[in-house]
Amino acid sequence: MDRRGIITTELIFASIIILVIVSSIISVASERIDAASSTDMHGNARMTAEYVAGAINKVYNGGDSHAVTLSLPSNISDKSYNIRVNSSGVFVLIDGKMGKSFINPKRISSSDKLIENAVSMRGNQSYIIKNVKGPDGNSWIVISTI
Amino acid sequence: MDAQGQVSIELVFLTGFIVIIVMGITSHLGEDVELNQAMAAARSGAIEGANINSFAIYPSGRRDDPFHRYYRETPWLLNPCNVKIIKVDYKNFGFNATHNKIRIQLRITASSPILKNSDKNPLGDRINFYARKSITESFGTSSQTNRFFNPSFSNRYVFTTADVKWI
Repeated sequence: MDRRGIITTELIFASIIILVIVSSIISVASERIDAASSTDMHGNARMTAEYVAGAINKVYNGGDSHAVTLSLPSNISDKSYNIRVNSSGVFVLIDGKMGKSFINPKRISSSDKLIENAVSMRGNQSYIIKNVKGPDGNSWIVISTI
Repeated sequence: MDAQGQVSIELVFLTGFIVIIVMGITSHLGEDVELNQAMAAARSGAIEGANINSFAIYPSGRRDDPFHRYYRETPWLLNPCNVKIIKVDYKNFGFNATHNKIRIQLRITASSPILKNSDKNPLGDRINFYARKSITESFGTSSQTNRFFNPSFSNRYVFTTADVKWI
């Protein structure tokens, strides 16, 4: 009977010390995990914008009739996002934040009618980016869904 | 029956002794633990601010938000750049009667070899902002502060930030 329901003083000490250490580590670890998630989101958003900008620049530099297709991920770090392309650059909007990637071409259109406008790109969608020579001889970038 | 549900007098003494000691050192330990937690939160926040600067993904939504302001005035800040947190230090200014807490000033040292000195101010402000925000969120004291989280609070401390030192 004397052997039942007994814990040693060492165990009590060790438990108290472990509790103190764990409780102090949890808040710090939580902060770090949040910071890592935030970094992941910002990094992926930047890479997605650069990916689109890189494709546009490649098509522009490739000359007339050059085209590439690209597929956008459905979300970035589990957050929905939008990409807008106009003559100023590629803008990625995610979680109330925005980033810009620079592009070379100045004439962006969403159709072969070559009307200059901003093009919205959404996640989980594939696009074809074409270099089209306009009537005035200038290169246009036409972005359309596949 | 006598052998059940009993503890030795030694254990009772020992437990009482431990409780007295723990109560005696809890307040001192609590201050240190709280300051450590705040500094860890400040470091996480500073790193988050530096990452936002590095990736150049800025808050957006209104015309006067950072992204649109940089877009109009300093478009080169929209380029990704290397911003690194070197050190997060603090200075204890002692008891502050206004806030009834001990005042701590955070001093963050950062590095960005590419940026001009004039461009470092807004990035430094962002690093400080996220350091204060992280402390506020860590202690759940957003109701006590303003929208710039300046100053930020813990239970025993009030935190302000000095300008980021760039090296």
